[in-house]
Amino acid sequence: MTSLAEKLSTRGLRVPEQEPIILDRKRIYIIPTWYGVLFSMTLFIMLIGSINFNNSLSFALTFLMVSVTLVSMLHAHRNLSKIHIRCATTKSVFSGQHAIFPMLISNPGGTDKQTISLVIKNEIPVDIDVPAGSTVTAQLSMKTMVRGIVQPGKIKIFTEFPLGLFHAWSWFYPDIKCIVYPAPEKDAPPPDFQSDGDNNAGLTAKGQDDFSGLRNYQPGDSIKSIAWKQSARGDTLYTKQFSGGGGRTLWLEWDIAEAGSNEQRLSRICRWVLDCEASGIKYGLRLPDNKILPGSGRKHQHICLTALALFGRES
Amino acid sequence: MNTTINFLINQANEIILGKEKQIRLSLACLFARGHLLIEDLPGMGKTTLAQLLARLMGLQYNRIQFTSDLLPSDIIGAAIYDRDKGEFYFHPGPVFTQVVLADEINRATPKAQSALLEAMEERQITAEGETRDLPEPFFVIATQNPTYHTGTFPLPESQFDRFMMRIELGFPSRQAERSILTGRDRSILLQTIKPCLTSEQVLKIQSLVPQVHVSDALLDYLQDLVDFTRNDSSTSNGLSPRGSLALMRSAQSWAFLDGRDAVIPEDVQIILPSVVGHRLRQYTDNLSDTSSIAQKLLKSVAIP
Amino acid sequence: MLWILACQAMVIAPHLLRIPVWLSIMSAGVGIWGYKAVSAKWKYPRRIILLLMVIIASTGIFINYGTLIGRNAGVALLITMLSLKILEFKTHKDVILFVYLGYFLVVTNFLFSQTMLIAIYMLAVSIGLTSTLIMLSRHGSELNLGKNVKQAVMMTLQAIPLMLVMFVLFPRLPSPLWFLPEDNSRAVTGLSDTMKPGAISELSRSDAVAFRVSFSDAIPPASQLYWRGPVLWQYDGKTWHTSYQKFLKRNMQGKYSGKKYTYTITLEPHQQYWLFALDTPSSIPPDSYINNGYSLISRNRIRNLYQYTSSSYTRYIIGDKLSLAEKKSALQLPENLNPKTGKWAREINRRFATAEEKAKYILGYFREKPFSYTLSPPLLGQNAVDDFLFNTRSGFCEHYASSFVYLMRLMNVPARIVLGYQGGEYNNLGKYMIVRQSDAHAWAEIWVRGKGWIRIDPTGAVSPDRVEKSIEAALPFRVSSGGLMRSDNPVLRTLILYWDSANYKWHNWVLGYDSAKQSSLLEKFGINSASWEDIAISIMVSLGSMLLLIALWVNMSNRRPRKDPTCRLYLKFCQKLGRIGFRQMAHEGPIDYATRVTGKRLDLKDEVDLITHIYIKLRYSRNPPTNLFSQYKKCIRKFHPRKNK
Repeated sequence: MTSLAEKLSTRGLRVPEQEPIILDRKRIYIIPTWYGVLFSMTLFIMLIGSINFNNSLSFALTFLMVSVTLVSMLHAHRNLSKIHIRCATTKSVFSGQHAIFPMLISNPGGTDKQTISLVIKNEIPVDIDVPAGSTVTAQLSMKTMVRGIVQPGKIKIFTEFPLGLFHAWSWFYPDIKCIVYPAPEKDAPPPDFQSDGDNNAGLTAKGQDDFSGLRNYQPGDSIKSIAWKQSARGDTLYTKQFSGGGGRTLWLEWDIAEAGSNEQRLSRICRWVLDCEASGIKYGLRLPDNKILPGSGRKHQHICLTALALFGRES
Repeated sequence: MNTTINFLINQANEIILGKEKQIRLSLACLFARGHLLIEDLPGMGKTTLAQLLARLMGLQYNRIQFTSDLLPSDIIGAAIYDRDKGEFYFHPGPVFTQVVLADEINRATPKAQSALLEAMEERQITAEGETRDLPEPFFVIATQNPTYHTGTFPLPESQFDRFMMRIELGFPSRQAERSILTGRDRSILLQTIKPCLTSEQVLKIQSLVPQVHVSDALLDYLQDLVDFTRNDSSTSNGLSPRGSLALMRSAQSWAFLDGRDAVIPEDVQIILPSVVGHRLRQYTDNLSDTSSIAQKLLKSVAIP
Repeated sequence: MLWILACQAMVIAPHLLRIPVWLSIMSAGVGIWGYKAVSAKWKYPRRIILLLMVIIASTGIFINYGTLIGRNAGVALLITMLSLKILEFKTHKDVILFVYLGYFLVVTNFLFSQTMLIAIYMLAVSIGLTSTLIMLSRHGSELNLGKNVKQAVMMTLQAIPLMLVMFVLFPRLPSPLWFLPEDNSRAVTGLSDTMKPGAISELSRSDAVAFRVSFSDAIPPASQLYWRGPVLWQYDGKTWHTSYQKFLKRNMQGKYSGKKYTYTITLEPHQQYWLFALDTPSSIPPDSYINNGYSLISRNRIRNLYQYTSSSYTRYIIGDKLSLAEKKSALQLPENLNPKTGKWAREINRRFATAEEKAKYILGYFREKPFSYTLSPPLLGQNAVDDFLFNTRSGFCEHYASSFVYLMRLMNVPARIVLGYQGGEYNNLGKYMIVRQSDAHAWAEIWVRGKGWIRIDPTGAVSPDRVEKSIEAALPFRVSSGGLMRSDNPVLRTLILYWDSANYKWHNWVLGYDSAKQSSLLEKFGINSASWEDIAISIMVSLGSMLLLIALWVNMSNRRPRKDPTCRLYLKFCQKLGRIGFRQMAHEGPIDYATRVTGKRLDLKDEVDLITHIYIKLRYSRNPPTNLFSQYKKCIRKFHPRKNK
């Protein structure tokens, strides 16, 4: 029955909708819940009792409850109607993490929308309250299994408020997607560098150009880099730290990531990209079908990771 | 007053071609007692605009070129030993002026940046245990290269907030570029320009701006906008109260430049990208850049 | 949780006096246990213990009531279940079932009492239960009590019109579907079908309403307000019984003259069959008969409030032909009792020839000898009539009527006792008469050839005030506990009358709403032949339209909050432009909008610019000129853009 109801209520939702999605009368469906059926049965017994005893007040109360039930149907319907839904931007995630699809639910009407739930199929529903005239973000999450682009597809928005006797729902199809990067490999070997310059350090290479601060001296630090002036003031030694934006450039190549499958390669390169970015090394990416010139910064990282995510997935 | 301002804008237009909106925005920012950040690629005329504004308003200005080896004392000033008198005296740095042009602010180290930024916020300077007031009016017009260029120290988020507006100049139109190519050298033109305002007048304008009426309906709109940024998860933080105040003040200032005594929604809409962009940018995914966030904000919030 | 328990307490509270004490204590205990269990201080009982408790309680109920299915036992069982459900609060479902059970229990309350106060109380309880449901349907543990109750009240208010429609239109059955076993444990105040000394005086202490009467036109004088009930024929020396019950069916055999009084009686349930009528009835209400004592008998036991219309004449001749059997029972007497009275009767019998003279003499005797009228008569011995006539000489109406009839029968005059009420208090506000239990009365009837049965009220001989005014006037001081109800304070009295008239309307229109009232009401709306289909259709139609109205109401509140006039007019302006293809976008400011419009339609430029200009002035600027608004209004009224060809 549920699948039939779903089929009926999602007909006409074949392509993603344009924003804002407005829930109007035509797309809100309503059926009694099992509690509703049970309650109707209770009411029926009450009615039989009233008829038998011909008791006016029992009649009145029974009818009052019947009416309250009907009114609750209207309320449940109203609780969804005229809701505006927009999608906010998603943040890219790594495979295995939860992709978060933030939905902006706004209620331009004059009554509060209470206890509304949104659910992506087979995921846990998210409950929200939207007071009159305001906007609330529902963070719908979806477990990601593979890299690429995930889309939540059709999302169900439903409510059983106020009495739990009726289930009002509507489907919408937001135009929203989330890029899933490959999961970074754990304990990946450092890349066999194809660097432009010297070839002597690991990923944590420090630059020599710009003074970036002091830290406590560790054995093994170069004597040249000891900050004698500062160290003379106290009894601890300080090492000058330099960071090098312009220090080195790495090419992260498909071919040097020697791992079994394509996916393993991708997750290894992903790990390298993250490491390079963390240590401020400029890096470029060379994939069989794509080449990204060296750079650094969050945007660059995103470009690289996206390239990894979409590798081999033309869409 | 208005004719003077219009004249000023016209003058500026002649130097920087085809950028009237940016000029007006900068003026609005300065009249609202805000500091201005001009961000664009090198060679787009950032410095020219900054110099032009300072000149036209008839204020004394200093230019500080930020480099990676700039020290805070290079900005604030330092105590110098006077051999004749046998004592230290404070030699004020270039920041002690009415308009500071902080060129390429993101090339200096965070330490140097924060020295300037502190001055911007407090409008006074504490050096050698003494607090010194900066002159009034006091503006900082900073220029910066886009952060992903090499050799830059991006401004920390907390300090971005201190600039009331951030504007981009963008490439000139074909026609404007032709004029630039064929016309006289901008730097020489700059020398010839005469101030249109005095510092007293600027102060006067600054005191008039907050008196521009902001009706309840408009405040509703402003708050709706701010609330939206706080609810929208594409920005993990919303606008701070300082941000919303900046929004209102710059809208007032814009209305003032337009010669109106009340703010209308269009004022807010026009200044919003410049005021909000840099405050929200830091939190967003790189997929969407500043202008699209501001556009989305404008599109999403209905005018009450 | 506390809230749910409070709801339970509220639901059970009215039942508390009716159910056995041990059950009340048990449910209270279980409530406390449940509360502690929810707050994780105590443990929930095991299933087996619960089952044991159910069995124990059920056995207790069975022992107490002798059954498990009657009304009382059923309610007790329900209460047990409701209370024990608390100990099962583990899932959401349990709580919801609990609430449904609560609704059910609310309805059972009405089987016992249907007063207005109970109705209001129960409305409150049902709102409480509804708000519990609202609370349960909310996610999260936030206890939004005020909001929930507000919503419940709102929903109930919206439901009331629908409820009224259903209440009015739902077809009522004239008789129940099946009978539940009688509960005899319940005492009802009211006349019984026997009379022994002290029965009526006992009843006189009660202020409970026996019935209410509304006359369609004239009201008979107070001295004629005899409300005829059962007629008693048989005497065993102590108690009078109704033994003779020959039904006359729907056939009146009286001769009536004088004024005809038509009236409607709303009878409180008294668990008996007879109906009361003004002496003597000339028509028989539906579903009832009349017997040879001219008492109206209902076909069904009066379990609920019962309303009927009848008419009567105060001048009548009834039973002018006495059958042999009747005569025999009208002369029946116990043997070998009251020797003194027998002697006296023979004496009178010798002195007077006609029955009426004999009666007159006896009444005179009552009047002259020191007989007194009292609510607390002394006890009488074996020869009760002897004792009363010659020793104690103080008693209530039943003593007088009883000894009078005894005497008449001794003298071979057919006589019988009539039970009923005498008097009544007129409520000017509601234009009806209240007859209370304290108005209960017994009088005598003797049979005279050619005149039939004649009413003789021996009490009137002793205390004429009793007949003329009311029982209060007749008694030297008030013994009854109903001092408040019959207060002398005029304000209080008015209030009481107000209250009673509201109650009467309540009885008349709410409780007494039955198939007859329904069809007469439907006739007023032009539905004459109320067939099932007609009723079904009218229910559907009115329910549908009502639902639609409520839907509109519900949706109205969903609209945007109201805006100020400036804004409303501007919206109108935008609508006008929208009609010619320029819809304002939600985020579009007025100037941008105007620019967009005038850019395409230069011909509208002046008007649009003007209106926009004024709108901005009015809405955004400081202190806009006061006369600007009228100009603005005029401009927008006059603005009629046409589509471009």
